[in-house]
Amino acid sequence: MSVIVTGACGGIGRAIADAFMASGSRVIGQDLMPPADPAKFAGWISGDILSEATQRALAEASAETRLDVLVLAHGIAGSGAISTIESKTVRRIMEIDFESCVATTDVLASALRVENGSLVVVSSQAGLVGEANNSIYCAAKFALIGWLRSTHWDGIRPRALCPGVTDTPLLQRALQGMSDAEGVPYEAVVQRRRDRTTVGRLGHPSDMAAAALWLAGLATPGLVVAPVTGGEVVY
Amino acid sequence: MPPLLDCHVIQVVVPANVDWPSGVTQAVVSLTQAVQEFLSRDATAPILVNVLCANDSSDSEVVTESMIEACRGFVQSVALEVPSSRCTLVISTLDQVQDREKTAVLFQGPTGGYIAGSTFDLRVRP
Repeated sequence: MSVIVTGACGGIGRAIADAFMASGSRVIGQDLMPPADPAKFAGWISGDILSEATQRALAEASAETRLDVLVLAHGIAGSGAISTIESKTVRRIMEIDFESCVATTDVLASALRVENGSLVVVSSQAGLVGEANNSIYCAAKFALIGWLRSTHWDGIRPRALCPGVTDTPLLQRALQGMSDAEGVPYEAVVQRRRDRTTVGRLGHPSDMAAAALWLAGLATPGLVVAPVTGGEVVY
Repeated sequence: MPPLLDCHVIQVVVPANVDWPSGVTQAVVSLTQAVQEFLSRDATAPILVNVLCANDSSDSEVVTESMIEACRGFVQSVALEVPSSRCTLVISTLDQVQDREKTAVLFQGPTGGYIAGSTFDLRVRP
């Protein structure tokens, strides 16, 4: 299979890319900066997902090869108190975590459609239920679900992966934001999140990678929403 | 009629020709600013967010549903973060004036105090 993974340097994105590579797929990765081992990838695109240059590079990459799976795993944390978050921050979170997913899909949809490919969007459990001090991130992740659910995909198999708390740098930044907003020690925030799962641990990136592989391989044509939350969010 | 609580009401109108997908972002920015203004004035009053959709949104289903979901995630989060807000979302079409008013009366009235973080979709389904 031929796969493009955005956000491929992130904790979940890299795990997904590695899992596809381990299964024999050809993976083109994208992120702001290249990884330490770009040679492992079939191709690499460095740049801001919002930039026209990056979108153009993604389109060119898909034109040179078949595209069986598009994984949108990029994103930024968005935690913070609603009373103090700045409008420019709101806009930035929405642009990266929502708008860029729509734009990237628009660029690559034709290529995906040729192969009846899978679109795997990494939303979040925060796209299923709200979270205090995370309202804008929730707005973006909920919007992704709304977009996926209401679009007529015609030859593309849409999937929403909704990870729970997964031990990645992004989560660590989000929890730090919550810690700052609430005035609670970071370790207490982590323990609190761990205690909210029924399985008693944070998620591993490999949990999400396994789910992404499974989602991409499903034949069913309609939207599949896959919460992988350790029981913290039952949905 | 029993006395109604003072309530912050925010209207989010889904226009007929909204930029996609930036219109969703703008709606969230405006919603955030409105909530911030209300909280700075009175952080104890309940907040009701009315999303007003076109009477026929079949041509703009993706925009409408994406905007509604963004508002829903936002409202749920605010309800958890600011418990006194009981922030709640009402989705209706422009012509559903009476149903919207009845919902507001319930939310603000003495029997509506257990409503918090809810979404009430009043739209007529085919």
